[in-house]
Amino acid sequence: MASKGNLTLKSCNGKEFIVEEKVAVMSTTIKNMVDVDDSFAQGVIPIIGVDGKILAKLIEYCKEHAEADEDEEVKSEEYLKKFDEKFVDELNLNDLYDLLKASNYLEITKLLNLLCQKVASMIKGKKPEEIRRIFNIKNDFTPEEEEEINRQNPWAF
Amino acid sequence: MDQSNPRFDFFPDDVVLQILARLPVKALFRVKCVCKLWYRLASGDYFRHLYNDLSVRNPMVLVEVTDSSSESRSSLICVDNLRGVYEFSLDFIKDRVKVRASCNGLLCCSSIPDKGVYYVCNPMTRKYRMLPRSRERPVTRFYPDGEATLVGLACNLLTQKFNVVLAGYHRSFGNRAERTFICLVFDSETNKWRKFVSFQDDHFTHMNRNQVVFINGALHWLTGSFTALLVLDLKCDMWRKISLPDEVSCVAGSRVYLLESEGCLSVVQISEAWMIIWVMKDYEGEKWHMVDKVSLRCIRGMVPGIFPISQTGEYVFLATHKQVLVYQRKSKVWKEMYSVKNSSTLPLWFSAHAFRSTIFSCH
Repeated sequence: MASKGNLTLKSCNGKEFIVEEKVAVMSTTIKNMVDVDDSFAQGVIPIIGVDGKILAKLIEYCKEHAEADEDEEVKSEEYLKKFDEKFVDELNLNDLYDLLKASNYLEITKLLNLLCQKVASMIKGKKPEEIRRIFNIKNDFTPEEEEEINRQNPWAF
Repeated sequence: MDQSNPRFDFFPDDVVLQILARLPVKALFRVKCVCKLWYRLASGDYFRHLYNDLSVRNPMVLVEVTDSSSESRSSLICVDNLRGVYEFSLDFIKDRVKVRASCNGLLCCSSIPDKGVYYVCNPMTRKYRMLPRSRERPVTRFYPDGEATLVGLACNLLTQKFNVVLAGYHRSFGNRAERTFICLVFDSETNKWRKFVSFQDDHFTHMNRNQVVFINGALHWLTGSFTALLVLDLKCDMWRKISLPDEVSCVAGSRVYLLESEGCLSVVQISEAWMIIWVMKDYEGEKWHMVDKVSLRCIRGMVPGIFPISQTGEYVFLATHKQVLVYQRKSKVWKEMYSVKNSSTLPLWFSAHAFRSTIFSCH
């Protein structure tokens, strides 16, 4: 049982994490749950579809940012930027994918923006076929359709 | 396909939209042919709004750099806080042009060889529109000869409509300019110019003319005397004035610039030791607030030649003779973003414009 001001989050594979409330409510989804139903604040909050490894990552991120929001002096803008950079650089594609899904579901806007920016920077300089290969996307255009799109903006290719 | 990689096409549409909205325009056109879902998502109205909203937070500076080896060739350098510096050209307009105004991703350019010919283009999507010549004879009647004193571009991101404004004093042949102020407004919807005449007695410096801000359906220029902003309300074709903060006009020896700051009017005053930033948060009430006072001690030597070009709450871009600088307001750090190597004939600030990259069609 978490002490006052703390919440217990439980991953889909049964791992429990005790976190400060201010850290957990970085997630709008959790914030809404706690606001609406007091029993969540006392008991265990199940985080559906997010495993222990990913949940630990999420909490690591939220901790840094919750502390920075509270006291700007302790963690400078510069420090957070460095933390964010390191955080996304260390992710492999599978983690990135899972974190994107989890931060979207849990509505952690700051993290979602950061991850989207990361994926965008991976896409930026690449050709469509490379993008399909990396992100495992099926090309559902016919060759004719694809050529037609290329013809509309030849300078982009 | 690599089966070990996760399937990104199973993502919620929301997430895909957020990712695509963070791509540069060129990459965006390329990824449209990745799959049908991405094509559909990146083509909708909702996506256009999302993209343009995000780009507002990333202002850039455009500077025109003339190649000293060939007079006719000039290219644009885009200095961007997120993505760094890159070069592009307006060669898709089959004419030699000069950028006269910039607003929400579109540029208004005038033809150099062909006086009186204007283009509106989106340099990111490489689309342009040549404006019809107006029936008026603006060329010889404006002061100084050949060019309209004020050029303004007003692009409404919501309605995707734009106006081009050319204004100047009437000048009969061989005479001094009179107070008769002629204004021509082009409307993208009707594809026509309209004209109205009023009386003004303001003068404008080169810098005042470059810095024009479009907000609340009106274009704003700083007057040469630094006492007021001259405002053209495009909803009713009326000129009016907004006064500057009292403190601005009374400091001798300082220079004043007009910029936008996140959807608000802003004036920046530069004196020997300080850069003071004012923002008009309450447009209806016409109240100015001082938001920042920056010491210029660490760039002291450059102060006589720095010109603020664009800004957000986080940073200010400034141009000097040969450099583009950025000042980060929270960390109070100055950085050089770009500098010209060769001896360019014109100072960078002379042709610097605030810019942001948007998907705005000029058709």
